Amino acid sequence: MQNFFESVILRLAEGQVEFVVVGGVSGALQGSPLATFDLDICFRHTAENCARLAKAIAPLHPRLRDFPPDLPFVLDERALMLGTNFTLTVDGGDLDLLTEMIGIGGYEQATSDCIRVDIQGYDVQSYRSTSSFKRKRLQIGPRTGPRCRC
Amino acid sequence: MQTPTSPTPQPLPDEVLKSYFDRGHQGDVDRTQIALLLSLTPYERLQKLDRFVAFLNRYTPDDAKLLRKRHSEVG
Repeated sequence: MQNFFESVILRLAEGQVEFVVVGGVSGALQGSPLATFDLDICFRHTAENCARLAKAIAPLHPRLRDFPPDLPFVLDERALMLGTNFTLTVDGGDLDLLTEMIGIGGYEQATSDCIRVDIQGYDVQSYRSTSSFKRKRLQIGPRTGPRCRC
Repeated sequence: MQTPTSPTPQPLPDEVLKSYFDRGHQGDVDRTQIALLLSLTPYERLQKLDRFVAFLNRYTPDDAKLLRKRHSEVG
């Protein structure tokens, strides 16, 4: 049975979405001992890529996280173009779609400093976690909230 | 004399749209994840952790595995 992280990343890769894995998963793939339960993805904010992204995750029934469940919402190319960062709940877990990140920037900045991880034959980009030291240079404080070690 | 017309709807400013879609990343903290973690039972939390560890064990490069092992040893 496929893992949530694996299945979402494979869907995006198979749908030829331009994306970078960021956040806790990218850190853990490079040796961070901290666990995270959501998947953060930074994607290129173009109409074509938004269309591919919307098509790729549509089968996972994306909904806005923390919103009333009966609130009508369709995640399509237009919705993705209108916003920048989306915190979603999809089948199996939580998925964050980001185009702007504090201390990093956008997709172009993230891809300029990333490693490659082979996930079932797909060459997936993962943001280099050591780059998070840039956050300190930008005088962004430490993250707060509960964390688990893995 | 000109007939009065209804005002043309103005598009929402970008900032309003951004904050509408992103309930989590207000500032540097994803508060929806914190709320989720606090709402889980220990068993549910363990299940999520197991799922995450299974993914990492499969795809983490060897050098990063070693790094994580050493991090864990230090505590």
